[in-house]
Amino acid sequence: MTGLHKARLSETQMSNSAVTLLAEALGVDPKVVDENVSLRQTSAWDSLAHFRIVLALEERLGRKLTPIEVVSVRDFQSVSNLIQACEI
Amino acid sequence: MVLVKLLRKEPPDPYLSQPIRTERFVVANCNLKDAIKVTAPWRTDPEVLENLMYSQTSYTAFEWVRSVGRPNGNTRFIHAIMPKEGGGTIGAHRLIINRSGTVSLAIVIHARSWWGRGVFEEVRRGIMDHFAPSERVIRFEGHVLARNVSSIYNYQKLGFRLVGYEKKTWLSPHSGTHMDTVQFEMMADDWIAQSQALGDADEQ
Repeated sequence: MTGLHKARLSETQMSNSAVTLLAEALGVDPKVVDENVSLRQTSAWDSLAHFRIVLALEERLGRKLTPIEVVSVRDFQSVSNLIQACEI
Repeated sequence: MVLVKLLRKEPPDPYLSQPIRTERFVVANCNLKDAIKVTAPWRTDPEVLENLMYSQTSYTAFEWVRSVGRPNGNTRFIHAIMPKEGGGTIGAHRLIINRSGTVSLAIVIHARSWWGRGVFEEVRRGIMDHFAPSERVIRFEGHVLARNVSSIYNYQKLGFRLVGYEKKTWLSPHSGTHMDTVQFEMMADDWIAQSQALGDADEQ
């Protein structure tokens, strides 16, 4: 397995983690969670869902999010980035 | 002359002091007596006082009258949030316009049965739609605790821009620890443009 293949596998795993986390927090089928899911565009992403997302991230990462990280949580990409940053 | 200035009260702004109607609520401007009444649930609610960054964990009725400020319908507003169906008051919104045109915002939904039902967004949209066109309003700002996830969500949902992160800004009277805060802003012109764009998108 080349280094590049390892990196691609890791990105897929991170994406899947974000899908699972968001699906559970939003209370939707993981199949409908994609890179377009966002705080501003997704009706299921209300204030309670946002709270669940932050709590789920803190549980996943094993620590409290910093204030900057809390503010950065706004869409699929930001959730995926947070998971990826802390898995490195 | 000084005494005249102290005694002179700004008359209510005839437009800004009008009630605001949203899809589900009437948001009505209060006089001092009504403001004390609608904010009364706050004064002994430690969670509300903490998130509004009040300096005490509870207030007596007299202390609260002094603390809530005198709404004048011109630069200081306290709006009662009343559902069209069912009546009663579920919360209140506080708004202060300074001489530079900056509007400071704060909202409390003290009826917990209404949490998670989009009240903040609907009421705040109605208030900003009402105030943004005024030539006296240049920008809106909100200042919240960095762990107030619900408020942060609501500011982001409305498109506010994060403009500041301050460390150990506020000493909590509950925990005795210093807490971080964040600041959001929205320019009145940007709000109007954003609302128009949303309206155009809905029509299409």
